[in-house]
Amino acid sequence: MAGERVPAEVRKDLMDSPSKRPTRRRIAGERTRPSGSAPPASASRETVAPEQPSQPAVASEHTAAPEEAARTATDPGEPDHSAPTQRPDRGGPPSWVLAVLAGLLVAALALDGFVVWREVSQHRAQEEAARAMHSAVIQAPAVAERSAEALLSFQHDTVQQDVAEARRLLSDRYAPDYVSSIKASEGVAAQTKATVSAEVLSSGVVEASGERADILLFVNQTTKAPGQESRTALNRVVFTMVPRESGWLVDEIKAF
Amino acid sequence: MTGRNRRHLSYGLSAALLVALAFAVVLTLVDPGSSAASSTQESAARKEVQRVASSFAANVNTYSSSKVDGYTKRVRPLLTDKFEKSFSQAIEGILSQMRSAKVQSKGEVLVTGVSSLDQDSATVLVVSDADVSTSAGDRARHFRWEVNLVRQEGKWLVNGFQPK
Repeated sequence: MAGERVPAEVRKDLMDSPSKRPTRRRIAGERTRPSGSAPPASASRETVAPEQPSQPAVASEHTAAPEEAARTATDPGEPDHSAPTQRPDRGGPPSWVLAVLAGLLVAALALDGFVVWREVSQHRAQEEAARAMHSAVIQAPAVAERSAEALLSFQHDTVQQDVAEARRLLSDRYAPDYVSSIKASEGVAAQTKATVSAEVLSSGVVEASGERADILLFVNQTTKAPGQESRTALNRVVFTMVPRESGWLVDEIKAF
Repeated sequence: MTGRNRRHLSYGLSAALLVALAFAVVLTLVDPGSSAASSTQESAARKEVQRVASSFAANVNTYSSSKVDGYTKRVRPLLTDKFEKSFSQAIEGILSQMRSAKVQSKGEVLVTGVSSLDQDSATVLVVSDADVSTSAGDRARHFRWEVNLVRQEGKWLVNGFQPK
C-alpha cells in the first residue's frame, strides 16, 4: 500500500544481509516477505509482479542474473537493459510494404473473381450455343418433316379445318402467306374434289444456328381426283424453321 | 507489431498473393470450351461434306463430247477407289453417249443439306439441275440425289449416290 512504512524487522533483515544491499521504497501492493525465509536472488523483480508460485521458468531466469537484478534495484531511474527477451526489431518490413502487399492481394483476389465470372459466363454461353445448335440440327429437321407432310397435304372438303391446324405450325410472320396460298387453290380443289398427300423421303440441314435452320426436304406430293389418274410430283423444298417457345415453327417455304 | 510478426505477416501476404495470381493464370490458360471447339469442328465438317457433294454433282452433270478426257479427270479424284470401280461403267456409258449424240450438259447445284454426319461418314442431299443439249434438242433435267461420303486419310470422298 502506498505510503506504508516498512516494518522494522524487515529493515533489519535487509541491513543485516551479507551483501549489504541498500534498501528501496516498497511499491504499492508489495507484500512483505515472511520473516526467516531466505530472499530469492531476484527479490526486487519478484515484488513487482503478482505472486506466481507456479512459474518456475521465470524464477530460474531471474536467478541467472542476480547482479543485474540488484543493479536495477539500486537505480530505478536507469533504463532496464536487463529485460530478458525484448530483442530489437531488426529485419521486419516497414508498414508501407505490408500495405502494398495487402493491396496487391486484394487486387489479385478481385482479378480471380473476374476471371471466374468470365469463365463461367463463357462456359454458359457455349453450352447454350451448343444446345441451340443441337436443337437446330436434330429437332428442327424432325419438326420440318412433320410440318411438311401436314402443310403440303390438302383435302378439298376440310380446307378450313386444315388451315386452322396449320396455323399452329407456322410463325406469325409466315402464317398469312401460307393461308392466302391455300385460299387461292381452294376453289380449284373444290371443283375437282382433289386430295393431295405429301410424303417426306429425306431431310437434310442446309444451314443451322440457334436462331434459324434451313431444312432441305425431298417431298413426294401425290394428287388424286375422281376420274383422274393420280400424279406424283417429286418436290424439292427448303423449310426455314425458327425457334419459338412452343418449339420450331415454319417461317418460310421455298421450292426448287 | 514486432519485427517478427511483420515478417510473418509479409510472408503470409506474399504467399496468398502468389496463390491468387497462380489461380488467375491457370484459369485463364485452361480452355473450358471443349464443347465450343467440338461445335466448330462439326460446323467445318458440315461445310466440307456439302462442298464435296456439291462438287461431285456439278462435275458429274457437266460434260461435253469435245472434252471427254477432262470429264474423267475432274470426277475420279472425288471418288473412293471402291466407288470408282462401280462408277466406271456409268462413266463409260456417259462418254459413249457424249460421242454419239454430241451431248453437252451443264450442271448446277441449287442447294445441299446434310442428312447425317459422324466422324467418318456422311450423307448429303443434293438438289441440282442440268441444261442438256443434244443433236435431238435441248431439255432441262432436275435431280434429287442422296450422296454418301466417307472420310479417308482426312479427306472426304464420294462412296456412292442414289437418285431419290
